[in-house]
Amino acid sequence: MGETGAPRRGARRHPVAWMLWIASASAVALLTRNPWYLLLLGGVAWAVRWRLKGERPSRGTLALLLSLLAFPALLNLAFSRVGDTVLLRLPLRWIGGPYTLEALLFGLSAGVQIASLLTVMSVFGSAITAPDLLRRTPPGLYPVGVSASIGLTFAPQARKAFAAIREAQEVRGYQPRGWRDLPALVTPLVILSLESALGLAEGMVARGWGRDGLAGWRRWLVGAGWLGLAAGVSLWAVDPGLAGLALALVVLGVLALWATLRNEAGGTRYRPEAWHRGDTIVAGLAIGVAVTFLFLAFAAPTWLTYYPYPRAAWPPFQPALGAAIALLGAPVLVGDG
Amino acid sequence: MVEISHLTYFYPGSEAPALRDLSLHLAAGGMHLVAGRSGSGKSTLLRALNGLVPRFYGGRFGGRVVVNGLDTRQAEPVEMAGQVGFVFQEPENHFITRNVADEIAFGMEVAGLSGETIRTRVAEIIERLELGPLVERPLDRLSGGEQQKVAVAAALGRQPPVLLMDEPTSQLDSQSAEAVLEWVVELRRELGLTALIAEHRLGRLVRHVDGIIYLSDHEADVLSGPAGEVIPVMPYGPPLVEAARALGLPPSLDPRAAEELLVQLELRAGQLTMPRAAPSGPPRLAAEGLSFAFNGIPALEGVSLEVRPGEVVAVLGRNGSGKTTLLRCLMGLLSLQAGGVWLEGNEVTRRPVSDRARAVAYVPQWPSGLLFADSVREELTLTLRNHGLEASPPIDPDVLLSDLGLSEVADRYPRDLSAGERQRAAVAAVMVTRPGVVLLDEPTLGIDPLAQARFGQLVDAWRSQGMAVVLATHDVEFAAAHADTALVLDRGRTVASGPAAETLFSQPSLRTSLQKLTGRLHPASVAELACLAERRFPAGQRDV
Repeated sequence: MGETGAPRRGARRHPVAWMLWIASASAVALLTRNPWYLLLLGGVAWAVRWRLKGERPSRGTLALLLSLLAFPALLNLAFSRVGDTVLLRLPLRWIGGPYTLEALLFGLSAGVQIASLLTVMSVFGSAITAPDLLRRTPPGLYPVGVSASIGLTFAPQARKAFAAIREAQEVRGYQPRGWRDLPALVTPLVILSLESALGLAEGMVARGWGRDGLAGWRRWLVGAGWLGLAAGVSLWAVDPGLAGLALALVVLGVLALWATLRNEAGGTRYRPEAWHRGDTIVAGLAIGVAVTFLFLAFAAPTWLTYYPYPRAAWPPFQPALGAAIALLGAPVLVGDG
Repeated sequence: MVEISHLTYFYPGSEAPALRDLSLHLAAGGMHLVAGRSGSGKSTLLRALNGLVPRFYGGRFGGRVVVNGLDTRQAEPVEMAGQVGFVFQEPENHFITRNVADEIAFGMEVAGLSGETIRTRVAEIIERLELGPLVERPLDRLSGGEQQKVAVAAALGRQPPVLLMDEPTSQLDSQSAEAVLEWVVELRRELGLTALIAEHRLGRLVRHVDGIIYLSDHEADVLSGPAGEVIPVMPYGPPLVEAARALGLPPSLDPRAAEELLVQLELRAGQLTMPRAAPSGPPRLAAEGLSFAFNGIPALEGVSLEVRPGEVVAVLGRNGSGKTTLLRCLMGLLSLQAGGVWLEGNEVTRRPVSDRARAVAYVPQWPSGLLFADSVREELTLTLRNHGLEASPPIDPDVLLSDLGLSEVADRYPRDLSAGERQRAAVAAVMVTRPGVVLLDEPTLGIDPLAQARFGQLVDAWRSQGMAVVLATHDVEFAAAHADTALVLDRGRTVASGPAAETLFSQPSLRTSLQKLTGRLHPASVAELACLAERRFPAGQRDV
């Protein structure tokens, strides 16, 4: 269970606006490897999260992000022997050889990408609730909704379980020893997190989640519709040469879903969700940024990549792209209206 | 309405059935109490009625269960949910949303009720269960009792034809429990609701229910029928029935039996007083002016407490009054805003929890949280190892396990044990260092009355060994039976304190069943009555 309390400024954004923002920020994080853009994106996501939760990130979060930066950098430095700028040469049998600046930078850029993506996902965890996802789960995909909800609540539940285990250990006289505690924490953490996940799933089932009123052939047809849609998209992604077949599967899938679900009524709401001008701004900017980066990924991929081999160089920086990423900071500036 | 035919169920991997050849017929509109010892299958029976057993849990299922015309073998649990509302025993794990109002509304949203209906019902529920101050609070910031109220509210909001409640009032204070039960009774009267309620505390329920289903330890034995017929043959009963037993009167729910009990108590009024000698000497644990706030909301304001060797202090109060917070502050699990804690005269306010743990044992509300080793025996070893006492334990772990009745389960995985066994395992895990102070949070929660009595004996034994015990509880009967002193909290402040019987009597909502019946301070508890009756009227000489 995450924290809510009185909603902070900006937290009242429509869930769809948040979903578009998250999709856009995730697309940027996945499409570029340029550390400047990724750092900027991470900073923007950090500010949005801060504004959303109304509290500064904890030391633990900072430590996690720093370790995410350091780990891939050190790992790549230790195992990659490519690059012209040798920092160190060890005359050892297994781990010896040249340690290069390029390997370090390449690993570091991977770390920046992971850390930025994680920061974007932390906004997702703060802005979107399990019911937000559940309410938007289409009929026939309820198991996916349950899985997504469990996924969404897993991190806060695991954090709670972690705190509970540490507390129980302290009550039993255990003195924390830092990283050496990890093995003693993992098993109970997994057990408690699984218990929480099962409890959530049981609670959802017991309260009627997933009751779509579909029976017999309609249920089968909905399943076939989603399957056709997924198969068509996957086929196109794997082999663009089979675009015709892929399109046919997508069309058949959509037709099956339309035939089955056209009369399905939408759910009701305790708190009606209103779409405000601010939502339009946030959603519009998010779509614009995502389209820009998708276009560049196909039209000018070199603008987005960073490859320090064979000799390290500063990553390029296009001010226009930096400004585009900065536009994702709209939720910080736009009010509740 | 509910038809159970030859129901037998085995959990996955289990050789022993959780339910064996159970057959029942319950008419529509009835209210039934499901009773039985911990692990007797009460929760399993309720889950079989809404299809979670076996559809969610798997396992082997035999027989047939039909609820409101739906056969659980054919209808899926989500279909059953339209007919059956469910309140889980540990609500926190089953919450879906983040705050109180959304959680109450969720089931109604899923059921497709109109927005207007949902808002009207949510407002009514919030007013009825006094949830107003909590309505926008995150669920994980509520006390256990407050969470339970929300879970009950969420199930009742949908007004299903059948309502299943697994210990719905176990964490509630008496006013909240009464409010919940009155509401169920009203829904039953207005809507013909059929309710099955699994509970250990029989006292507040027996007058509302049409029948009792008692799941016995002896596998195939299920006692079912009107409360007046079943209670006398059960191994435990509500406090007044137990009081009648203590005086050698027939155990009965008949109003004439209560009158006879009152007459007997009045006749012996002068004799039935046994003031406990107050422990003296310097306090072993003392707290002065404790204050704590969660996110700026005061949870404890200037609370002081002293507990001496051989003294048992009960902390009572409504849900969210600060009982758990007080215990956690005493243990050092929360950082105080003001005040201090002294142990044997030495200030320990700034000392870490692990330091205090050698001298102070703490058992939380849900003791499962303390257990994470592979076996019960390993739990004890773990604590000893943490304190560097593995080579020379202050108490032989095997002796402690035997004293707590855990020898037979010493090698079992702790989280698979029954509620009572889990609680005793947690107690063993923190008591193996022989601490001088014991802090118990809701020690009777989720355990059956026989296990409660056994646990009470353990508390009495600790007292006689000179330990200082602080217990936070809603169970006034348990507090009256085992505590010397009581401290009553209200919204984080002390509103009453003093000798247990007097303090409970001074708060009308905290009076015990015997105090309510007689209008007198003593006897305050069945245990006190039994002790006095035994002393005054040895067996065979009672004038009944």
